[in-house]
Amino acid sequence: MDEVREFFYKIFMAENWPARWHCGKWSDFHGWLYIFSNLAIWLAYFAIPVALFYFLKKREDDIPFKKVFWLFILFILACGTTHLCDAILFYYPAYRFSALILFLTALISWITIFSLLKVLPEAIGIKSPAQLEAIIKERTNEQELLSENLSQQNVKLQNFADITTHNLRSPASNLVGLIHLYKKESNEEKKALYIQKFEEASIHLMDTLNDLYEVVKINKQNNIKKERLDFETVLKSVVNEISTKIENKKGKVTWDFSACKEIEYSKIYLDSIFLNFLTNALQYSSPERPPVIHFTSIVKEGRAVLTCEDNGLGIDMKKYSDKIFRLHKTFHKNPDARGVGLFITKTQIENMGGSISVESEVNVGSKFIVVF
Amino acid sequence: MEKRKVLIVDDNQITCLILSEILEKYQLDITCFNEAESALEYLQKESNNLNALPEIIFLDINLPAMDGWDFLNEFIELNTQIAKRINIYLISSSNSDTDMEKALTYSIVKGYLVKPLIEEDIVRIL
Repeated sequence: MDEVREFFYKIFMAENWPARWHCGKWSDFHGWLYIFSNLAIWLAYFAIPVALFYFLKKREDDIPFKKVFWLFILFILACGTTHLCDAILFYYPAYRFSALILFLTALISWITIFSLLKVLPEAIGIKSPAQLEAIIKERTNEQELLSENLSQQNVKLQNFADITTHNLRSPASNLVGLIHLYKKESNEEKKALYIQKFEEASIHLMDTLNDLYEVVKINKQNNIKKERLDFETVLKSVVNEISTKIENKKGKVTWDFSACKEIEYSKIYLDSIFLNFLTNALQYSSPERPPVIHFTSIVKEGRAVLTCEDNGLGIDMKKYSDKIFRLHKTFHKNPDARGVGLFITKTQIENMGGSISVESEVNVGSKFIVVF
Repeated sequence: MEKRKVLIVDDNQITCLILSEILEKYQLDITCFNEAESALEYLQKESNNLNALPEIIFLDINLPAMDGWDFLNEFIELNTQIAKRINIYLISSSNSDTDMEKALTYSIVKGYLVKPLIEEDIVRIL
Protein backbone atom coordinates (compact mmCIF):
# COMPACT_ATOMS: atom_id res chain seq x y z
CA MET A 1 0.00 0.00 0.00
CA ASP A 2 2.89 2.31 0.82
CA GLU A 3 4.17 1.83 -2.70
CA VAL A 4 0.83 2.78 -4.17
CA ARG A 5 0.56 5.81 -1.94
CA GLU A 6 4.07 6.90 -2.88
CA PHE A 7 3.27 6.30 -6.56
CA PHE A 8 0.36 8.70 -6.57
CA TYR A 9 2.05 11.14 -4.22
CA LYS A 10 5.01 11.49 -6.53
CA ILE A 11 3.07 11.03 -9.74
CA PHE A 12 4.62 13.96 -11.60
CA MET A 13 8.09 13.76 -9.98
CA ALA A 14 11.01 12.75 -12.14
CA GLU A 15 13.95 12.86 -9.76
CA ASN A 16 14.58 9.08 -9.66
CA TRP A 17 15.43 8.68 -13.33
CA PRO A 18 17.65 10.40 -15.86
CA ALA A 19 15.89 12.04 -18.85
CA ARG A 20 15.68 9.55 -21.68
CA TRP A 21 18.19 11.51 -23.80
CA HIS A 22 20.76 10.62 -21.13
CA CYS A 23 19.69 7.04 -20.59
CA GLY A 24 21.76 4.86 -22.88
CA LYS A 25 23.38 6.20 -26.01
CA TRP A 26 21.11 8.07 -28.44
CA SER A 27 22.38 9.60 -31.62
CA ASP A 28 20.66 12.93 -32.47
CA PHE A 29 19.01 11.37 -35.49
CA HIS A 30 17.74 8.34 -33.52
CA GLY A 31 16.43 10.46 -30.62
CA TRP A 32 14.70 13.07 -32.79
CA LEU A 33 13.23 10.39 -35.02
CA TYR A 34 11.77 8.82 -31.87
CA ILE A 35 10.48 12.13 -30.48
CA PHE A 36 9.16 13.43 -33.79
CA SER A 37 7.35 10.15 -34.60
CA ASN A 38 5.75 10.02 -31.18
CA LEU A 39 4.55 13.62 -31.49
CA ALA A 40 3.24 12.97 -35.00
CA ILE A 41 1.32 9.92 -33.74
CA TRP A 42 -0.04 11.91 -30.78
CA LEU A 43 -1.30 14.69 -33.08
CA ALA A 44 -2.88 12.21 -35.43
CA TYR A 45 -4.45 10.36 -32.47
CA PHE A 46 -5.97 13.62 -31.31
CA ALA A 47 -7.23 14.56 -34.77
CA ILE A 48 -9.10 11.25 -35.24
CA PRO A 49 -11.40 11.78 -32.19
CA VAL A 50 -12.15 15.31 -33.42
CA ALA A 51 -13.28 13.85 -36.75
CA LEU A 52 -15.28 11.15 -34.97
CA PHE A 53 -16.84 13.72 -32.66
CA TYR A 54 -17.83 15.86 -35.62
CA PHE A 55 -19.36 12.80 -37.31
CA LEU A 56 -21.27 11.89 -34.13
CA LYS A 57 -22.67 15.38 -33.77
CA LYS A 58 -23.75 15.52 -37.40
CA ARG A 59 -25.44 12.13 -37.34
CA GLU A 60 -26.63 12.33 -33.74
CA ASP A 61 -30.16 11.06 -34.45
CA ASP A 62 -29.60 7.96 -36.52
CA ILE A 63 -26.16 6.64 -35.60
CA PRO A 64 -26.18 3.17 -33.99
CA PHE A 65 -23.80 2.07 -31.21
CA LYS A 66 -23.13 5.60 -29.95
CA LYS A 67 -21.52 4.25 -26.75
CA VAL A 68 -18.92 2.33 -28.76
CA PHE A 69 -18.16 5.48 -30.74
CA TRP A 70 -17.49 7.38 -27.52
CA LEU A 71 -15.30 4.57 -26.24
CA PHE A 72 -13.32 4.69 -29.48
CA ILE A 73 -12.82 8.42 -29.03
CA LEU A 74 -11.52 7.84 -25.50
CA PHE A 75 -9.38 4.90 -26.59
CA ILE A 76 -7.67 6.85 -29.36
CA LEU A 77 -7.18 9.86 -27.11
CA ALA A 78 -5.56 7.60 -24.47
CA CYS A 79 -3.30 5.95 -27.04
CA GLY A 80 -2.28 9.42 -28.28
CA THR A 81 -1.44 10.49 -24.74
CA THR A 82 0.90 7.48 -24.27
CA HIS A 83 2.85 8.66 -27.31
CA LEU A 84 2.99 12.21 -25.98
CA CYS A 85 4.29 10.89 -22.64
CA ASP A 86 6.87 8.79 -24.47
CA ALA A 87 8.18 11.93 -26.19
CA ILE A 88 8.16 13.99 -22.97
CA LEU A 89 10.25 11.31 -21.19
CA PHE A 90 13.22 12.46 -23.30
CA TYR A 91 13.27 15.70 -21.27
CA TYR A 92 11.14 15.08 -18.20
CA PRO A 93 11.24 11.43 -17.04
CA ALA A 94 7.89 11.28 -15.15
CA TYR A 95 7.75 7.51 -15.45
CA ARG A 96 5.03 7.20 -12.78
CA PHE A 97 2.70 9.45 -14.76
CA SER A 98 3.59 7.56 -17.94
CA ALA A 99 2.76 4.24 -16.23
CA LEU A 100 -0.58 5.64 -15.03
CA ILE A 101 -1.45 6.78 -18.58
CA LEU A 102 -0.50 3.33 -19.92
CA PHE A 103 -2.69 1.68 -17.28
CA LEU A 104 -5.67 3.93 -18.11
CA THR A 105 -5.15 3.24 -21.82
CA ALA A 106 -5.10 -0.50 -21.14
CA LEU A 107 -8.31 -0.20 -19.12
CA ILE A 108 -10.12 1.83 -21.80
CA SER A 109 -8.85 -0.56 -24.51
CA TRP A 110 -10.36 -3.59 -22.78
CA ILE A 111 -13.65 -1.85 -22.04
CA THR A 112 -13.80 -0.89 -25.73
CA ILE A 113 -13.05 -4.46 -26.78
CA PHE A 114 -15.83 -5.88 -24.58
CA SER A 115 -18.31 -3.27 -25.75
CA LEU A 116 -17.34 -3.98 -29.31
CA LEU A 117 -17.76 -7.73 -28.89
CA LYS A 118 -21.16 -7.12 -27.37
CA VAL A 119 -22.46 -5.12 -30.33
CA LEU A 120 -20.60 -7.11 -32.99
CA PRO A 121 -23.46 -9.51 -33.93
CA GLU A 122 -25.81 -6.59 -34.26
CA ALA A 123 -23.24 -4.60 -36.23
CA ILE A 124 -22.68 -7.51 -38.61
CA GLY A 125 -26.43 -7.56 -39.18
CA ILE A 126 -26.45 -3.94 -40.34
CA LYS A 127 -27.18 -3.80 -44.03
CA SER A 128 -24.73 -2.18 -46.37
CA PRO A 129 -26.09 0.62 -48.60
CA ALA A 130 -26.04 -1.81 -51.54
CA GLN A 131 -28.01 -4.39 -49.56
CA LEU A 132 -30.44 -1.72 -48.38
CA GLU A 133 -30.84 -0.53 -51.92
CA ALA A 134 -31.63 -4.09 -53.02
CA ILE A 135 -34.19 -4.44 -50.22
CA ILE A 136 -35.78 -1.11 -51.11
CA LYS A 137 -35.88 -2.13 -54.75
CA GLU A 138 -37.52 -5.43 -53.89
CA ARG A 139 -40.07 -3.73 -51.64
CA THR A 140 -40.73 -1.06 -54.24
CA ASN A 141 -41.39 -3.80 -56.78
CA GLU A 142 -43.75 -5.51 -54.35
CA GLN A 143 -45.51 -2.22 -53.70
CA GLU A 144 -45.77 -1.50 -57.40
CA LEU A 145 -47.22 -4.93 -58.03
CA LEU A 146 -49.66 -4.45 -55.20
CA SER A 147 -50.66 -1.02 -56.39
CA GLU A 148 -51.03 -2.31 -59.95
CA ASN A 149 -53.19 -5.10 -58.62
CA LEU A 150 -55.25 -2.64 -56.64
CA SER A 151 -55.76 -0.33 -59.57
CA GLN A 152 -56.76 -3.32 -61.70
CA GLN A 153 -59.25 -4.28 -59.01
CA ASN A 154 -60.43 -0.70 -58.97
CA VAL A 155 -60.96 -0.63 -62.71
CA LYS A 156 -62.79 -3.96 -62.45
CA LEU A 157 -64.98 -2.58 -59.69
CA GLN A 158 -65.62 0.62 -61.62
CA ASN A 159 -66.52 -1.37 -64.72
CA PHE A 160 -68.78 -3.57 -62.68
CA ALA A 161 -70.46 -0.55 -61.11
CA ASP A 162 -71.01 0.89 -64.61
CA ILE A 163 -72.40 -2.41 -65.87
CA THR A 164 -74.65 -2.74 -62.84
CA THR A 165 -75.91 0.81 -63.15
CA HIS A 166 -76.65 0.51 -66.81
CA ASN A 167 -78.17 -2.94 -66.81
CA LEU A 168 -80.33 -2.37 -63.79
CA ARG A 169 -81.42 1.13 -64.70
CA SER A 170 -82.75 0.00 -68.05
CA PRO A 171 -85.38 -2.51 -66.83
CA ALA A 172 -86.08 -0.46 -63.70
CA SER A 173 -86.79 2.69 -65.69
CA ASN A 174 -89.11 0.70 -67.92
CA LEU A 175 -91.08 -0.27 -64.83
CA VAL A 176 -91.37 3.40 -63.88
CA GLY A 177 -92.36 4.32 -67.44
CA LEU A 178 -95.08 1.66 -67.49
CA ILE A 179 -96.46 2.79 -64.13
CA HIS A 180 -96.73 6.35 -65.47
CA LEU A 181 -98.64 5.09 -68.50
CA TYR A 182 -100.88 2.89 -66.36
CA LYS A 183 -101.82 5.70 -64.01
CA LYS A 184 -102.92 7.98 -66.83
CA GLU A 185 -104.78 5.31 -68.77
CA SER A 186 -108.50 4.68 -68.46
CA ASN A 187 -108.84 2.07 -71.18
CA GLU A 188 -108.95 -1.35 -69.48
CA GLU A 189 -107.41 -3.15 -72.44
CA LYS A 190 -104.44 -0.83 -72.46
CA LYS A 191 -104.13 -1.17 -68.73
CA ALA A 192 -104.00 -4.95 -69.07
CA LEU A 193 -101.28 -4.59 -71.71
CA TYR A 194 -99.21 -2.38 -69.41
CA ILE A 195 -99.56 -4.90 -66.59
CA GLN A 196 -98.42 -7.66 -68.91
CA LYS A 197 -95.42 -5.60 -69.99
CA PHE A 198 -94.78 -4.72 -66.36
CA GLU A 199 -94.50 -8.41 -65.63
CA GLU A 200 -92.10 -8.92 -68.55
CA ALA A 201 -89.93 -6.03 -67.41
CA SER A 202 -89.89 -7.40 -63.86
CA ILE A 203 -88.76 -10.80 -65.12
CA HIS A 204 -86.07 -9.10 -67.21
CA LEU A 205 -84.92 -7.18 -64.14
CA MET A 206 -84.76 -10.39 -62.13
CA ASP A 207 -82.77 -12.12 -64.91
CA THR A 208 -80.34 -9.23 -65.01
CA LEU A 209 -79.91 -9.39 -61.25
CA ASN A 210 -79.20 -13.10 -61.50
CA ASP A 211 -76.63 -12.52 -64.25
CA LEU A 212 -74.91 -9.85 -62.21
CA TYR A 213 -74.94 -12.08 -59.16
CA GLU A 214 -73.12 -14.74 -61.20
CA VAL A 215 -70.37 -12.21 -61.93
CA VAL A 216 -70.18 -11.15 -58.28
CA LYS A 217 -69.87 -14.79 -57.31
CA ILE A 218 -66.95 -15.29 -59.70
CA ASN A 219 -65.14 -12.17 -58.55
CA LYS A 220 -65.63 -13.09 -54.92
CA GLN A 221 -63.83 -16.40 -55.32
CA ASN A 222 -60.19 -15.72 -54.56
CA ASN A 223 -58.83 -19.15 -53.91
CA ILE A 224 -60.52 -21.24 -56.51
CA LYS A 225 -59.77 -24.92 -56.22
CA LYS A 226 -57.49 -26.00 -59.04
CA GLU A 227 -57.10 -29.55 -60.21
CA ARG A 228 -55.35 -31.41 -62.97
CA LEU A 229 -57.84 -31.58 -65.82
CA ASP A 230 -57.73 -33.47 -69.07
CA PHE A 231 -59.01 -31.20 -71.87
CA GLU A 232 -60.51 -34.08 -73.80
CA THR A 233 -62.35 -35.57 -70.83
CA VAL A 234 -63.85 -32.23 -69.82
CA LEU A 235 -64.86 -31.31 -73.37
CA LYS A 236 -66.42 -34.73 -73.98
CA SER A 237 -68.58 -34.43 -70.88
CA VAL A 238 -69.76 -30.94 -71.92
CA VAL A 239 -70.48 -32.14 -75.47
CA ASN A 240 -72.45 -34.99 -73.98
CA GLU A 241 -74.44 -32.58 -71.86
CA ILE A 242 -75.63 -30.57 -74.87
CA SER A 243 -75.64 -33.38 -77.43
CA THR A 244 -79.30 -32.74 -78.33
CA LYS A 245 -78.58 -29.12 -79.17
CA ILE A 246 -75.60 -30.15 -81.30
CA GLU A 247 -77.62 -32.83 -83.09
CA ASN A 248 -80.51 -30.42 -83.74
CA LYS A 249 -78.12 -28.12 -85.54
CA LYS A 250 -76.37 -31.07 -87.22
CA GLY A 251 -73.20 -29.76 -85.65
CA LYS A 252 -69.80 -31.40 -85.42
CA VAL A 253 -67.34 -30.90 -82.59
CA THR A 254 -63.69 -31.87 -83.18
CA TRP A 255 -60.52 -31.35 -81.17
CA ASP A 256 -56.78 -31.75 -81.08
CA PHE A 257 -55.32 -31.55 -77.60
CA SER A 258 -52.14 -33.48 -78.45
CA ALA A 259 -49.80 -30.50 -77.89
CA CYS A 260 -51.19 -29.78 -74.43
CA LYS A 261 -53.31 -32.50 -72.94
CA GLU A 262 -53.78 -31.29 -69.41
CA ILE A 263 -54.15 -28.14 -67.40
CA GLU A 264 -54.19 -27.16 -63.73
CA TYR A 265 -57.47 -25.25 -63.57
CA SER A 266 -60.88 -24.93 -61.96
CA LYS A 267 -63.19 -27.69 -63.19
CA ILE A 268 -66.28 -25.48 -62.97
CA TYR A 269 -64.63 -22.73 -64.99
CA LEU A 270 -63.26 -25.01 -67.69
CA ASP A 271 -66.72 -26.62 -67.99
CA SER A 272 -68.23 -23.16 -68.31
CA ILE A 273 -65.64 -22.03 -70.91
CA PHE A 274 -66.31 -25.07 -73.12
CA LEU A 275 -70.07 -24.78 -72.64
CA ASN A 276 -70.14 -21.08 -73.52
CA PHE A 277 -67.97 -21.54 -76.60
CA LEU A 278 -70.11 -24.43 -77.79
CA THR A 279 -73.50 -22.82 -77.18
CA ASN A 280 -72.22 -19.59 -78.69
CA ALA A 281 -71.01 -21.34 -81.82
CA LEU A 282 -74.30 -23.23 -82.15
CA GLN A 283 -76.39 -20.13 -81.54
CA TYR A 284 -74.53 -18.07 -84.12
CA SER A 285 -74.05 -20.79 -86.69
CA SER A 286 -74.58 -19.95 -90.32
CA PRO A 287 -77.87 -21.08 -91.86
CA GLU A 288 -75.91 -21.94 -94.99
CA ARG A 289 -73.76 -24.70 -93.43
CA PRO A 290 -73.87 -27.04 -90.44
CA PRO A 291 -71.71 -25.81 -87.58
CA VAL A 292 -68.20 -27.25 -87.21
CA ILE A 293 -66.51 -26.37 -83.94
CA HIS A 294 -62.86 -27.22 -83.50
CA PHE A 295 -60.87 -26.98 -80.25
CA THR A 296 -57.07 -26.95 -80.05
CA SER A 297 -54.66 -26.60 -77.17
CA ILE A 298 -50.98 -25.65 -77.29
CA VAL A 299 -48.32 -24.38 -74.90
CA LYS A 300 -47.05 -20.91 -75.73
CA GLU A 301 -44.41 -19.13 -73.65
CA GLY A 302 -45.01 -21.58 -70.82
CA ARG A 303 -48.77 -21.05 -70.73
CA ALA A 304 -51.56 -23.26 -71.94
CA VAL A 305 -53.53 -21.74 -74.81
CA LEU A 306 -56.95 -23.00 -75.88
CA THR A 307 -58.56 -22.00 -79.16
CA CYS A 308 -62.10 -22.55 -80.31
CA GLU A 309 -62.79 -22.09 -84.00
CA ASP A 310 -66.20 -22.15 -85.65
CA ASN A 311 -67.60 -21.65 -89.13
CA GLY A 312 -70.53 -19.53 -88.00
CA LEU A 313 -71.83 -16.08 -88.77
CA GLY A 314 -68.73 -14.31 -87.48
CA ILE A 315 -68.53 -10.83 -86.02
CA ASP A 316 -67.56 -7.64 -87.81
CA MET A 317 -64.33 -6.96 -85.92
CA LYS A 318 -63.83 -3.51 -87.39
CA LYS A 319 -67.02 -2.39 -85.77
CA TYR A 320 -67.40 -4.48 -82.68
CA SER A 321 -63.95 -5.64 -81.52
CA ASP A 322 -64.17 -3.61 -78.29
CA LYS A 323 -67.71 -4.67 -77.46
CA ILE A 324 -67.68 -8.44 -77.80
CA PHE A 325 -67.16 -9.29 -74.16
CA ARG A 326 -69.58 -6.74 -72.72
CA LEU A 327 -72.60 -7.78 -70.74
CA HIS A 328 -75.88 -7.85 -72.63
CA LYS A 329 -74.15 -7.13 -75.90
CA THR A 330 -75.45 -9.24 -78.72
CA PHE A 331 -74.47 -9.07 -82.35
CA HIS A 332 -77.07 -11.00 -84.20
CA LYS A 333 -80.80 -11.02 -84.57
CA ASN A 334 -81.16 -14.10 -82.43
CA PRO A 335 -84.05 -14.15 -79.99
CA ASP A 336 -82.10 -16.32 -77.52
CA ALA A 337 -79.11 -14.04 -77.44
CA ARG A 338 -78.74 -12.38 -74.08
CA GLY A 339 -75.08 -11.36 -74.24
CA VAL A 340 -74.21 -12.99 -70.95
CA GLY A 341 -72.11 -16.06 -71.80
CA LEU A 342 -68.99 -14.38 -73.15
CA PHE A 343 -69.06 -11.81 -70.40
CA ILE A 344 -69.15 -14.56 -67.77
CA THR A 345 -66.44 -16.55 -69.58
CA LYS A 346 -64.20 -13.48 -69.71
CA THR A 347 -64.76 -12.76 -66.02
CA GLN A 348 -63.89 -16.33 -65.08
CA ILE A 349 -60.75 -16.43 -67.21
CA GLU A 350 -59.51 -13.08 -65.94
CA ASN A 351 -60.25 -14.03 -62.36
CA MET A 352 -57.82 -16.94 -62.81
CA GLY A 353 -55.16 -14.58 -64.21
CA GLY A 354 -55.70 -15.42 -67.89
CA SER A 355 -56.96 -13.55 -70.91
CA ILE A 356 -59.35 -14.06 -73.80
CA SER A 357 -59.30 -12.62 -77.29
CA VAL A 358 -61.17 -13.15 -80.50
CA GLU A 359 -60.48 -13.15 -84.23
CA SER A 360 -63.46 -13.20 -86.54
CA GLU A 361 -64.61 -12.68 -90.08
CA VAL A 362 -68.20 -12.14 -91.12
CA ASN A 363 -69.69 -15.27 -92.70
CA VAL A 364 -66.46 -17.23 -92.27
CA GLY A 365 -66.39 -17.84 -88.54
CA SER A 366 -64.88 -16.85 -85.20
CA LYS A 367 -61.80 -17.97 -83.31
CA PHE A 368 -61.65 -17.48 -79.55
CA ILE A 369 -58.24 -17.71 -77.93
CA VAL A 370 -57.86 -18.32 -74.21
CA VAL A 371 -54.48 -17.91 -72.56
CA PHE A 372 -54.67 -19.66 -69.19
CA MET B 1 -103.18 16.61 -92.95
CA GLU B 2 -100.25 14.25 -93.04
CA LYS B 3 -99.01 13.00 -89.71
CA ARG B 4 -95.55 13.97 -88.50
CA LYS B 5 -93.19 11.05 -88.68
CA VAL B 6 -91.19 9.78 -85.73
CA LEU B 7 -88.63 7.00 -85.71
CA ILE B 8 -87.74 5.07 -82.57
CA VAL B 9 -84.51 3.07 -82.55
CA ASP B 10 -84.34 0.97 -79.41
CA ASP B 11 -83.67 -2.73 -78.93
CA ASN B 12 -85.83 -2.85 -75.84
CA GLN B 13 -89.37 -3.61 -76.91
CA ILE B 14 -90.86 -2.25 -73.70
CA THR B 15 -89.09 1.08 -74.14
CA CYS B 16 -90.43 1.18 -77.71
CA LEU B 17 -93.91 0.46 -76.43
CA ILE B 18 -93.77 3.15 -73.74
CA LEU B 19 -92.53 5.74 -76.20
CA SER B 20 -95.04 4.73 -78.88
CA GLU B 21 -97.92 4.88 -76.40
CA ILE B 22 -96.96 8.40 -75.37
CA LEU B 23 -96.41 9.61 -78.93
CA GLU B 24 -99.61 8.06 -80.28
CA LYS B 25 -101.65 10.48 -78.23
CA TYR B 26 -100.16 13.31 -80.26
CA GLN B 27 -101.21 11.98 -83.65
CA LEU B 28 -97.75 11.05 -84.82
CA ASP B 29 -96.76 8.42 -87.30
CA ILE B 30 -94.44 6.11 -85.37
CA THR B 31 -92.02 3.51 -86.68
CA CYS B 32 -89.93 1.35 -84.37
CA PHE B 33 -86.62 -0.28 -85.16
CA ASN B 34 -84.89 -2.66 -82.79
CA GLU B 35 -81.52 -2.39 -84.49
CA ALA B 36 -79.60 0.60 -85.72
CA GLU B 37 -78.74 -1.22 -88.94
CA SER B 38 -82.35 -1.61 -90.09
CA ALA B 39 -83.11 2.01 -89.19
CA LEU B 40 -80.16 3.14 -91.29
CA GLU B 41 -81.26 0.91 -94.16
CA TYR B 42 -84.71 2.48 -94.00
CA LEU B 43 -83.31 6.02 -94.01
CA GLN B 44 -81.02 5.17 -96.88
CA LYS B 45 -83.89 3.73 -98.89
CA GLU B 46 -86.10 6.73 -98.25
CA SER B 47 -83.39 9.34 -98.66
CA ASN B 48 -84.89 10.59 -101.91
CA ASN B 49 -88.42 10.61 -100.62
CA LEU B 50 -88.38 13.59 -98.29
CA ASN B 51 -92.00 13.05 -97.24
CA ALA B 52 -91.26 9.59 -95.93
CA LEU B 53 -88.40 10.81 -93.76
CA PRO B 54 -89.02 11.28 -90.06
CA GLU B 55 -88.93 14.62 -88.36
CA ILE B 56 -87.65 13.19 -85.13
CA ILE B 57 -85.55 10.14 -84.27
CA PHE B 58 -85.43 8.79 -80.74
CA LEU B 59 -82.18 6.88 -80.63
CA ASP B 60 -81.04 4.56 -77.86
CA ILE B 61 -77.30 4.72 -77.25
CA ASN B 62 -76.90 1.17 -76.07
CA LEU B 63 -77.98 -1.00 -78.95
CA PRO B 64 -76.84 -4.49 -79.86
CA ALA B 65 -74.06 -4.67 -82.42
CA MET B 66 -74.12 -1.19 -83.98
CA ASP B 67 -74.77 1.23 -81.11
CA GLY B 68 -76.22 4.72 -81.07
CA TRP B 69 -72.85 6.40 -81.66
CA ASP B 70 -72.11 4.15 -84.63
CA PHE B 71 -75.54 5.01 -85.98
CA LEU B 72 -74.88 8.74 -85.63
CA ASN B 73 -71.53 8.47 -87.40
CA GLU B 74 -73.01 6.55 -90.31
CA PHE B 75 -76.09 8.74 -90.42
CA ILE B 76 -73.97 11.88 -90.87
CA GLU B 77 -72.14 10.19 -93.74
CA LEU B 78 -75.44 9.17 -95.34
CA ASN B 79 -76.72 12.48 -96.63
CA THR B 80 -76.21 15.89 -95.16
CA GLN B 81 -79.49 17.13 -96.62
CA ILE B 82 -81.41 14.49 -94.66
CA ALA B 83 -79.35 15.07 -91.56
CA LYS B 84 -80.36 18.73 -91.56
CA ARG B 85 -84.06 17.90 -91.67
CA ILE B 86 -84.06 15.43 -88.82
CA ASN B 87 -83.80 16.11 -85.10
CA ILE B 88 -82.23 13.31 -83.13
CA TYR B 89 -82.90 12.78 -79.44
CA LEU B 90 -80.67 10.30 -77.67
CA ILE B 91 -82.22 8.05 -75.08
CA SER B 92 -80.21 6.23 -72.48
CA SER B 93 -80.73 4.49 -69.19
CA SER B 94 -77.59 6.08 -67.78
CA ASN B 95 -77.03 9.73 -67.02
CA SER B 96 -73.32 9.34 -67.71
CA ASP B 97 -71.47 12.64 -68.04
CA THR B 98 -69.18 11.25 -70.71
CA ASP B 99 -72.15 10.21 -72.84
CA MET B 100 -73.81 13.59 -72.38
CA GLU B 101 -70.61 15.41 -73.31
CA LYS B 102 -70.15 13.15 -76.31
CA ALA B 103 -73.72 13.88 -77.39
CA LEU B 104 -72.93 17.61 -77.43
CA THR B 105 -70.28 17.05 -80.09
CA TYR B 106 -72.97 16.03 -82.60
CA SER B 107 -74.84 19.02 -84.01
CA ILE B 108 -77.67 16.79 -85.21
CA VAL B 109 -78.35 15.64 -81.66
CA LYS B 110 -80.94 18.00 -80.23
CA GLY B 111 -81.34 16.44 -76.80
CA TYR B 112 -80.44 13.70 -74.37
CA LEU B 113 -83.24 11.90 -72.55
CA VAL B 114 -82.57 9.72 -69.55
CA LYS B 115 -84.98 6.83 -68.97
CA PRO B 116 -87.60 6.44 -67.52
CA LEU B 117 -89.37 8.13 -70.39
CA ILE B 118 -92.42 10.04 -69.18
CA GLU B 119 -94.97 11.99 -71.10
CA GLU B 120 -94.09 15.39 -69.63
CA ASP B 121 -90.52 15.17 -70.92
CA ILE B 122 -91.50 13.90 -74.34
CA VAL B 123 -94.18 16.56 -74.88
CA ARG B 124 -91.64 19.32 -74.45
CA ILE B 125 -89.76 18.05 -77.48
CA LEU B 126 -92.76 17.79 -79.82
